[in-house]
Amino acid sequence: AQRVSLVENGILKGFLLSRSPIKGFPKSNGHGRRSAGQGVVARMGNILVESSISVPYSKLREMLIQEIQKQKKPYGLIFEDISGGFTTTSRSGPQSFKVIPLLVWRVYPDGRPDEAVRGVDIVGTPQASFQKIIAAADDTGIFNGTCGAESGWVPVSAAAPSILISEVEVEKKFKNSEKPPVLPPPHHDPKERRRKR
Amino acid sequence: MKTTILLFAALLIPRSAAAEDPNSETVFRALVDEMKRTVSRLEMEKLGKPYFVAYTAMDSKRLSISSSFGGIKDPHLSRSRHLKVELRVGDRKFDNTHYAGKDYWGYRPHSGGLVTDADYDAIRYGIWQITDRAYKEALERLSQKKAYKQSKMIKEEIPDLSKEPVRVSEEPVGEVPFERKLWEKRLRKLSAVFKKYPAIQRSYVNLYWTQRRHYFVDSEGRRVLKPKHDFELVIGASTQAKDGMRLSDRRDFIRRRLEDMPPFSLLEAEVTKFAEDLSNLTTAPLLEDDYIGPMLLEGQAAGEFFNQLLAHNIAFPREIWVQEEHARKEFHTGGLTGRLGLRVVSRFLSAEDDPGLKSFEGIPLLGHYRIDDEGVPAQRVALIEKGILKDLLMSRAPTKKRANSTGHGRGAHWEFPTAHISNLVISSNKTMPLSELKDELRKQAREFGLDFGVVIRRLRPENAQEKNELLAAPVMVFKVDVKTGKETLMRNAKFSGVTLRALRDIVATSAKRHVYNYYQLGPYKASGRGQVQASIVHPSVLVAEMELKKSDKKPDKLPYLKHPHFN
Repeated sequence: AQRVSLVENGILKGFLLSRSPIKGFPKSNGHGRRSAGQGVVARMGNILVESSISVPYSKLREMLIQEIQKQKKPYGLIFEDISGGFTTTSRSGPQSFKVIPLLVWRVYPDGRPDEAVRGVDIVGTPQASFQKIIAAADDTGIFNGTCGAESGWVPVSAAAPSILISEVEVEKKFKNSEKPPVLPPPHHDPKERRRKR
Repeated sequence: MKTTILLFAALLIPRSAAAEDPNSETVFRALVDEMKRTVSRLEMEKLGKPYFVAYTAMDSKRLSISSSFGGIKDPHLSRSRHLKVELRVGDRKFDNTHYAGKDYWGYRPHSGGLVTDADYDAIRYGIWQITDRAYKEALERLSQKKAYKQSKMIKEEIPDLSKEPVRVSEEPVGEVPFERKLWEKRLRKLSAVFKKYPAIQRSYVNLYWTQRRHYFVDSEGRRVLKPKHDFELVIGASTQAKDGMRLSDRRDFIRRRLEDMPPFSLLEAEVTKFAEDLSNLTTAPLLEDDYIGPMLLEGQAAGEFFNQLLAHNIAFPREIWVQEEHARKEFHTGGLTGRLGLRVVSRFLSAEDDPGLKSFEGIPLLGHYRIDDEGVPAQRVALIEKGILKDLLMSRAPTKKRANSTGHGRGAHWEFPTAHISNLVISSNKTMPLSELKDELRKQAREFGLDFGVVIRRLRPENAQEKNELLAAPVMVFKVDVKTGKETLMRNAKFSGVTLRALRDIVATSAKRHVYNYYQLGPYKASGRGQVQASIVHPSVLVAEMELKKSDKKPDKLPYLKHPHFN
């Protein structure tokens, strides 16, 4: 395993490599990984994202409100927690990603309290999205999890600060029409609680 | 009325075995309490409450050990509790069952895991979740089934659920500690037998030892606690003949209890015989020309012959409706069940199905049970008398000719119970010693103008049938010279043109009867799922005329390097 500098000052400098060479990069840098029984693919290990300019998180929030006003939008969104996401990488498919947020807040520029919203997914293409990052905070957060690909699932980590993006596209989440349970859970059924257990 | 009074007493005061075991008692209490809430209050938008609910909880402890060439592979001990919910909306005459619609793979009861602790609240929490899903699906299915009946203009009305007396029953669950170390040692020894056989490329000896406890309750007041243990030892191997043709075979020893297994020395001898048979096949000549003539099926081959042609077709009398015609064959309806009063086997054969039989001539019968999976006591059924089909095996699903259960409603835990065989005992009035049966084969082959007759000693199991086959290919096929009686092992043969007529073409049987303990597959043809423990007691049979043809399978290249152990 080797440390690899991938991006410097916004410029792509290298790749994560296994023993499958690509043009201009003939050697592995020790990133060939897989889960048992799968084929090796060049995978991330610990991805660290750093910003040379950073502001406190409270300042980043102020900048979000300024951006909402500047763009004359009714509200902005804060994505606080994310359950996962995926990117299409095959040549035949669109090179796009989808991020599935868990906790999203709607932020109003007029000082009203934030509102939790649900049913929102983030979609986009990686290069266009990266261009729209306009600021970062000084609050690096760490993600520990697993990431899947042709190689199966491998444990990975990522560390990155909060970021302000000038424009993201969101879409409505898939929703099924299943009805909620007819009866309350037995433990919380007032008609049942009187029964002796 | 008497039964009803008994029933309430039983529900309020848990009886002996369950009372002694706090875990069983808690499971029953959670099942009964949630079932009462379900039938009294589970109703969505005035679409009707369930009129019938049955819960089956299964506690399972399983030890599985694989072994190969003297070594142990992933020994595994697991424990689970699983709930099956059978929920009916509508009424007895017309409900949501016996209709698969377009959902061939999903035609099964709702089920899911429950906590294994004796935790009343946590168990009920799980029951509630699964019941809710089952109820909603039942409503959907009932409306689809109504639409289907109208669109197909079906006028005939066969009820969906029979009325049966209510019984409460508890059997000792008889669990024993797993002897893991001992069986690991034995499996190493058994699988090492293959070290003497260079012709075999792959081999394994696996053990699946399962101890289960079934808790059954239904909204009519049934309550059953019973064991469902299973001890299975599987010997399997595959290889290629010199010309590259793939060959494989497997043998199962299945018993209810460990103590019913044959002695270890016998198992060792069976593995040796198995390895020898498969080795001999690698050098056996090919069947050169198609064969039409008399055929003698001995031992296991006769067992599978009766399973695939008779048992499979006298079980599953109730038709399951499907939306599209082409899917009908996925849900098998017993091909002989419409032939009540007609001759289905040769005149000198009779058959009964008796779940009460525990053993036959000292050999334990796998199909024995007291209460079926719908809580109905098992009954003996005189199925076939002098070749004529006299009766049917029934679950609580009525048919045109029979309204009531005979206590044969069984199914794997993940399936709806359906009428299976239990212990199918076949008797014959035209018997002779096996050696005379072989002489008879030669005589009949000579009359056919043939140089040889055919003896089959092993058949592949039912789930090895190819598309549209009624009988899976034979494994051990022997030519018998009509003049000398000399036997020659052959390979590459499969049956052709087999129909249920073969059962009526049996011309004589051996006097000695064999016990075939096996798993009878469910009626789901494509998946082969839903197997239950069953036994067939049967003689070896001589069939007047059957056909063999060459298999059209193409050989594969042999391994490039030699077997490392014999290099």
